[in-house]
Amino acid sequence: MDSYDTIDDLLSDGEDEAAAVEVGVAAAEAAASALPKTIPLSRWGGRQVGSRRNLNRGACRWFDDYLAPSPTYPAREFRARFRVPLGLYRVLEAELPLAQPKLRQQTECTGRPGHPLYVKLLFSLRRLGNGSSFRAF
Amino acid sequence: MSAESQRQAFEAFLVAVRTRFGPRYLNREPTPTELRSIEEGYAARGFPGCVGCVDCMKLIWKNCPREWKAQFHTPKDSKMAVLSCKAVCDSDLYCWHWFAGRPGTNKDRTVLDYSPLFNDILSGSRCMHLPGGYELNGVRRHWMVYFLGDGAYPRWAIFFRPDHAPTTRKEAHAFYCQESVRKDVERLSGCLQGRFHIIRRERFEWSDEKVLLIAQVCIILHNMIVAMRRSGELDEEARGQDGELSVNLVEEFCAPPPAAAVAAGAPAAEGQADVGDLQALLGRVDAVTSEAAHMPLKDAVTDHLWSRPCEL
Repeated sequence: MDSYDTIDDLLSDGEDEAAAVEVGVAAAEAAASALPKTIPLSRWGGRQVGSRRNLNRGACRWFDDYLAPSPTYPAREFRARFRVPLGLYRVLEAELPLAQPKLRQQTECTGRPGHPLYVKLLFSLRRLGNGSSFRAF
Repeated sequence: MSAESQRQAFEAFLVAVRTRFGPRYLNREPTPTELRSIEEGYAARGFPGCVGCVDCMKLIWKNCPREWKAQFHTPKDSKMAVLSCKAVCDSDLYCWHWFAGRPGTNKDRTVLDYSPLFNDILSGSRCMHLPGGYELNGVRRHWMVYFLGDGAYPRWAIFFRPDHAPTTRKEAHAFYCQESVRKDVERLSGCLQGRFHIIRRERFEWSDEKVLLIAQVCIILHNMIVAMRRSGELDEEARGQDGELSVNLVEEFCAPPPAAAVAAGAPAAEGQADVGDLQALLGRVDAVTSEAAHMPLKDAVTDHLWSRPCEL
């Protein structure tokens, strides 16, 4: 029996409306699972090809968690995660763009702003600390 | 960030750190004041005249080109190419000399032959005498300062190293004390690999320059952290002053490197003679590398440690 017929039957029979909603949600989930997946799963695990990640949101979370005036985590958490003290990071943030202008935030060819300075620095420190590959971020 | 953006940002970061902070925190010759403070630190631990511990570390280079692999192999790790590094550190784990990357430098002894620090000592262009000498075993000595090394280093006048088979209790005690202090350089290796896992694992770069650049940046950042600890900035951070950029810290890190020992007006010693004089050069090399010059140092340090109350 089709699920839509079930809802009509339930409504026509004067049953509880909540039960009808439950059946409708179950039917919607079943229909969604029956649709073909637009993002193919990676065969060997790891990052899914074509998956969209909100990079701006991730960068904002790094800033809010560690670098904001009132961060979510204290400085010792910053040191545990990025392996350098927060004071040293502040020195790097102030001095390195003077030595290497590529580290500054630049504009892409489409006019969008590129990655900010703190994302590049935190990523580099994280890579030094963890020794992970470029695909891990 | 995409992988390409990450790669570009990472390389720019490495180059920027080495360009901006390398002259001050990598292979800078210590001033006479710094050399004296290092020596005083080791004198308090029973080794007057010592200015550092020396040892070799290994960087595993996975993607070494096959044609080069024979130049970078060691007998222990014959399957992997290995870049040998020589480090000299003090008791605060500040690495004040670091050298790596020479092809064919597979053992401690061969790295020593190519090391610019010890080549400068042999050629006389680097002053290794403390102004006023140092007091060892109750006598004021005007010898060269020395380093603590393991059994792989030769019996030179600038090394105090253990013997494989000490014959007396006095020698055994001296070598036991030497091992307990020389472990600083082993701690440096462990501290670096623990803090920066990128040099613990095998490296996949295609060029040895990139592998060495990563290791140099790790050494620079480590030295900056040690400098922070010395100046007490880490204690302030632990007390809760988060996120504030200290003015003292900026002055400390961004000041130009202090002048070298020779330019700072160190008293002229026999190590600063004319380098071009061949006879003088041979005489200096013989004075440093002869075993006859090593034995007085060994006897004096052994007697000093035996007469000193044991704190181990």
